[in-house]
Amino acid sequence: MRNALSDRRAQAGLLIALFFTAIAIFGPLINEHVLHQNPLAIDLEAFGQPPSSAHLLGTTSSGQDVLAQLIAGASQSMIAGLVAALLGTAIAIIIGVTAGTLGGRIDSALTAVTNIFLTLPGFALILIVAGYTSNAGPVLIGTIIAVFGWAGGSRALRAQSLSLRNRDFVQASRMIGESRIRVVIVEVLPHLTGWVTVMLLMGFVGGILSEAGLAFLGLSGVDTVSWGTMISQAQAQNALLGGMWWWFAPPGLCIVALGGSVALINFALDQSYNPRLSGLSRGQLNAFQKIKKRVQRTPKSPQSSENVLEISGLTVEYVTDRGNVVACKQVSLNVRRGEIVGLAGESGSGKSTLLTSLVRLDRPPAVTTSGSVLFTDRQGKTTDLVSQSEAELRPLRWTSISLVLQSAMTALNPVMRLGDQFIDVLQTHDTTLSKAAAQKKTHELLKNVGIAPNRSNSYPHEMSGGMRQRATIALALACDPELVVMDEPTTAVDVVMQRQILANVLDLQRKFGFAIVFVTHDLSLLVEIADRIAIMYAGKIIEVAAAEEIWNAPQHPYTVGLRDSFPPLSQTTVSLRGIPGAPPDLRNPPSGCSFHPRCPLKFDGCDRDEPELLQIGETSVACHQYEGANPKEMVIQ
Amino acid sequence: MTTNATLPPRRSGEQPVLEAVNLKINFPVGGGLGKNQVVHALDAASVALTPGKITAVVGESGSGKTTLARLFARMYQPTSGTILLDEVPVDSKKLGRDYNRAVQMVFQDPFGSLNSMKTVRHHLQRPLLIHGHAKRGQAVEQRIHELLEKVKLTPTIDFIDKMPHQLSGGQRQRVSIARALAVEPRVLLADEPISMLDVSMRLDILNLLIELRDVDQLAILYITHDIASARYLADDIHVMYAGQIVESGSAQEVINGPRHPYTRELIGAVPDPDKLRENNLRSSHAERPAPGEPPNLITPPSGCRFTPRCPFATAACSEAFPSATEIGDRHQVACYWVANQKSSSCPDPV
Amino acid sequence: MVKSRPDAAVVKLVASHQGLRRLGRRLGFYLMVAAVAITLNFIIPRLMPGDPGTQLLLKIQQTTGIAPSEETVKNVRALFGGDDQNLAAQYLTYLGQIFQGNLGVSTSQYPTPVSELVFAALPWTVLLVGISTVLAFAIGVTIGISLGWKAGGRADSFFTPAAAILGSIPYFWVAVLAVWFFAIILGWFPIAGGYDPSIVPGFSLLYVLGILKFGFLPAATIIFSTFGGWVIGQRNMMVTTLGEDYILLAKAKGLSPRRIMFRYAARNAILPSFTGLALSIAGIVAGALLTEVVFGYPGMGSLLFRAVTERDYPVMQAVFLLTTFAVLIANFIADSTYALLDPRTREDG
Repeated sequence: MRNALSDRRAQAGLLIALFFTAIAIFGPLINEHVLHQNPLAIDLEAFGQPPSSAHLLGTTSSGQDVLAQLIAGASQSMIAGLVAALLGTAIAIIIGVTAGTLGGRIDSALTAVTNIFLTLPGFALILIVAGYTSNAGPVLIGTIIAVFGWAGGSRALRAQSLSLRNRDFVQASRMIGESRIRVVIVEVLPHLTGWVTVMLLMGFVGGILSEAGLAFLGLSGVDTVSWGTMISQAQAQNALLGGMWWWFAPPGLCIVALGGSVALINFALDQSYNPRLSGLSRGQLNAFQKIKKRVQRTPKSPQSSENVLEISGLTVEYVTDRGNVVACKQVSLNVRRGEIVGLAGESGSGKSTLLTSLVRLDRPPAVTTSGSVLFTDRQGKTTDLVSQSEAELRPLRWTSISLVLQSAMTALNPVMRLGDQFIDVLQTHDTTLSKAAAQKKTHELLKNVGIAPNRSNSYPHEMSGGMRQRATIALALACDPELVVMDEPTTAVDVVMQRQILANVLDLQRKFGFAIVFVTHDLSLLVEIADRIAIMYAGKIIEVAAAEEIWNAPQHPYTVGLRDSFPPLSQTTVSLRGIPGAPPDLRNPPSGCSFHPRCPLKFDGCDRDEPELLQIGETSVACHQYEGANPKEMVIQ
Repeated sequence: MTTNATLPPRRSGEQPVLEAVNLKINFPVGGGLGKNQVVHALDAASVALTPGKITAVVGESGSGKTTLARLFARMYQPTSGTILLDEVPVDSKKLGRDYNRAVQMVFQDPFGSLNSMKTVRHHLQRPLLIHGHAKRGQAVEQRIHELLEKVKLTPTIDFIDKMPHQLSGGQRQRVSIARALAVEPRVLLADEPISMLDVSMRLDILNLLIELRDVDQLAILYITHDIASARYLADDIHVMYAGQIVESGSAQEVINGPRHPYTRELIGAVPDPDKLRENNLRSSHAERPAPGEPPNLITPPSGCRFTPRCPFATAACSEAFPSATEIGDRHQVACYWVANQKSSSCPDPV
Repeated sequence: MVKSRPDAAVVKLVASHQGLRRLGRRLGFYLMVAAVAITLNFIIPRLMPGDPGTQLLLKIQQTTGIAPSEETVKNVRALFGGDDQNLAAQYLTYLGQIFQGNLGVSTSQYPTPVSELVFAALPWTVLLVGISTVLAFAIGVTIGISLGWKAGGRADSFFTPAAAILGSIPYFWVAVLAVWFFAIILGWFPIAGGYDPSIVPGFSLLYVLGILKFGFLPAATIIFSTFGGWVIGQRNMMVTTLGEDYILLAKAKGLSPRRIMFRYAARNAILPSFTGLALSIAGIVAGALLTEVVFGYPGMGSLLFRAVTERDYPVMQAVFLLTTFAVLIANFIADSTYALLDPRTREDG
């Protein structure tokens, strides 16, 4: 709500709407005491006059003052709009929320009624009813509009309350014994405020437009003045043909102004309720431009041609209007050819941000602000992926680095057959490949992961979860990449399927020799499949070591705590403690070592200086307790 | 489908407070016109919850474990079977409030189970007022502080007026537990209470459940897919596959000596860094799980639903679900193959 | 490997079968709406103040100067009530009349049968609404796709709110302005009508060109007033879709931006717009009725307008009934298109 009101367009809309509201309320007073005009008074001396000091907006063909009519019409139009909005929304709430929260037969019946009203051409119905009831005032017209126009809102509210009903907090309040009515009123309804507001606004606009439409057809009372009747009479008297634009144009403009202002408020509200819809702000876009200019294109050479990937000093920030949030800070990590590197961390550790950055797919507002990602191919050619343009990157994608995402259901295009999602990438990177050859290759790839070739004709929703995930792994291997980045590839599947898939992946890795960066929160899994493991905390790598070392001799207090958070499966059960506190909020990171607020071993200075990653034997660790000390003598737990 | 009317395994001399006997539920799907299909979500499940004990139900997604918890929470009506509260069948028409006074639930999603528009105070105050555990005013306030203290959200004054979005996942889950405790229940149903929490915060929640068992003598049902966590805190365990309970017993015994072919496969698939040398996926001699996936529960295999994937399946397996074989103190396995092994008194079959 | 699951062919068969079943269900629903419309058509005149049936008979007598024949009386009573039969019997008589296609006799153009008037007007409206709806949808969706692709950009922050305002401009006001400017000031288009009366109707090039010339302004008005809604809907869906994992993966695959934009993003984002199309047809028809009046277009709108001003109840009722049927058929076409486009053919509620 507050966000919406800070939008300049919404402020303009609100101002206009308030202006018209004031006119509607004080209209009669203004006409009587300021303009000294009676909107209905016929003055045959002054018919069809253009704007003048006596008649600011001129007169009608029967000499009525246009401005006075416009002012008087405001209340009529707005009453019709208000009645339509309030009554229509009330019906929509009662029917939609009842259907959504009660469910069952009542829901089926009410939904059928709603759909019928939604499908019937309501306006034709309104016309007919208005045709029978001649001389309808704004209240009656608003009522008719509400009675035939509530269905759209009701449908939306039903869907919303249905999904709310199944939410756990509603179930929970039923569990503690809250009554049905109270659950609806206290727990569910407040969540519908946004929808109801939108509905009121749209109902208001709809009411004004419909009233004007009916009046235009001459279906409202002859003795009332509304913007609609003004346009109707102007049209009947051929005002435009006769050059009396001052009569025809103002009422229409008033409707557009009032309707448009409400539409603007509605638009801003909509965007504040769904912030994802608004895209990036101007400030964010400017910041992006600046950062793009900053990234240098100086050629860098790798430390070793044995490394397929060398990440150094990689920093990724989320650009927001309230300043930047550093999600990855000075991350350096090497991946050797054919090596499996595990990347472990909790939510907010920056592991997913790092992953999207190294495949150069920063999700806005994330942007890589410094550092390099050097990729060296089999022929020894090195490319800094960070400094490449999007067009330069495209031929490298999938042929050098490919990607497996956590949920195969969302990673595959739901409306494309599985095979086509292979063929398009195969043909993109090998333009000489015929469709038949691409098909053949697809079948081979699927066979690698135990999927029958005829499955390439299936859509993703026709496959089981495990099969979909295997399909995305086959897809990742389509262009014979040297590195496959896997983001929690087995988190969404069950443990037996996880083991099936990983056994499959490891077999293929042995056969084809690609390197893997495997991202997960499950340290116990990484220990089994990775050669080396990097632990991330609050956007930084805090420890890198061989997999077994990480499990058997962790150095960083966080790594120790993380390892001890996994209860043993086969060893004697002892009482364990997790790590106290919660991971830090990166918008407001702790000073010094970001783990110090939770660290059991913190000492003076931990909250002041940021520890550097130190090389201690085969292990790298970023912790002050190792500075100047011989690590072999340090004993942790 | 099957008619094995086995009672759930019980500890001798202990009265279960809440008990499911042969619970079965079918969910209609599709709806509308035409032939209705049903999901056979749970088939003849019997589980007993005893004061001062944590009973775990483990299984993969679709195994029916969450359905079982929700049946215990009376969110669904069973197709057949009974729920006994204090050995008395629960009348389906009886007011839910009385039942919920004894049985409370903690949900999986700490983000979804609290109302994002209400404070911590609202969440804890309502159950206190509804169940009359505190009258308005000072007493309510006092009780809320006690509850926060109990779930270790201290200093309590810092938490009482917080909105859910100001709390971490672990803290939210504690509020959720405190809300359940406010009713002063005797049974706590915990449906995957840690699966959506960060790893480093899971143990604290598990330790809190242990404390509620040991200090407050609550009967706790712990639903999980995380077998190591079940071993860490549960006294008893039931293993479910595709809506059927295939193995039950003490947690240590079942996890360290699984007998049902499915339980063996399940536990063999859990990564265990302490046994890397014996069973490492990266070594070529590592045990590979047999291919296959849980069946579609609209048309489940007849008899034992693991039959299509089972290396030891015989014709009998497809005919009827085997009745439980007692193979140790309260250790029961529903498997013909295990039963045969036992009668021919061969020690370990593999 | 997959022995417990049906193979791909079976799955496909089941899926298409489900698609057919879904369409069957929709068809059933539309038949139900048609029944409701027929019933409403029966109820409304009987609920209205006064006695429309008697008024009608009086009017006929005034127009013709002679008492209406027994058959006419029976017919009017069946459609508008007012005789001594009980409601159930009235309803049955009414249904019998409707299913014979007997919609009564017009009072303003006595004794022309209403069906004759209505069926002469219907094709004009179907043509006008059909063409302008398809064009407005195509234009709006295309603009929405390009705005959503560059959400937050300069074009987006101007055109998207502008499209929101477009929806609040009254159709008929735009129509009058269009007539005034393009037909009267510029003289590019005829002022009113649907075809050139000086050309013999038929499938001649001249006649068709004439229809296009006369239909251009009404169609343009409808398109102008409705395409904004499609822009916003499609733009928002595009933004949502662009955040999906499959878009990220498509980029990682190195596909061309063009392919990602159309085959991956727009192809998915357009599906909800088709659902919206079915839901919005009734609203478009409402606007079209008003637009026809301004342009004197010989369709249902003008017919209805004349009927309403002259209190020609039989024509009013028949227009409502036929418009409803046309809307239902259009809905069904939109629904079927959606089912064709979405392999999941899932039920959206």
